[in-house]
Amino acid sequence: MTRNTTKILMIEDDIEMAQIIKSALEQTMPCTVRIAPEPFEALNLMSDHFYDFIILDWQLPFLNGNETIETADRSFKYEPRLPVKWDTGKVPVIILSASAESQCHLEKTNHFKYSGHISKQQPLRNILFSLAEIVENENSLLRKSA
Amino acid sequence: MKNYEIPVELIQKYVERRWVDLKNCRDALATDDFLFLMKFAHQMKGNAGTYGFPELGVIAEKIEFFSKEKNKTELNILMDQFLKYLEHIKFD
Repeated sequence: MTRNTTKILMIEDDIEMAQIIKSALEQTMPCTVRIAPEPFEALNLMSDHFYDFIILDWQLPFLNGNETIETADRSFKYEPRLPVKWDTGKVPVIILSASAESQCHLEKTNHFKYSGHISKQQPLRNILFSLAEIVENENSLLRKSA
Repeated sequence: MKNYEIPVELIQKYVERRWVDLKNCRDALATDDFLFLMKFAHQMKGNAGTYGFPELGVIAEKIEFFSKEKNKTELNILMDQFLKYLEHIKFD
């Protein structure tokens, strides 16, 4: 994970919501955000690029959030072009959803770890604050372990 | 972390799109397309609060619930509430 610019993949089919969060995050934190509007585009992006964080909606087209992460985790084994950084640690996944936390259970995988749930049903500044807090916590854990 | 406010133009566009959604919802209700209503409502439940319209999020939550129940009576009432809510939004 680079200290200067955090690379974030946001898997979100509500493009309106995704754009506003991308824009807000990029203006308030040292990060770049890539949007994948559906799980299979996300899988392709993850095969080609490493991301420091995943922001994951739960109700997505074709797959739910857990199925998306499990599919990515499985497919990494067979992906020859996979960036090696995916194998250096578990990437934090932040669930950002209108579904309740109790409905969003992320199974354990080799490449990802659950890092928090943020409800979409709140003002943007609260969402940004929660995201920034999780990113900062994860970055500080990483610095301690380095 | 710096402050970020959603530009008012984007909020206006958000509201404009909800007018289109209202029409689509009424059409869906007329054809018993509860799946459309459920998906739409789940999305609006998630984004309304972000744009500063938490009451719209509550209406969406109810639309999602009654779409699952296929309760047309309640859904018609909610469409009227959706309309009234949009009508009361004013931009300076």
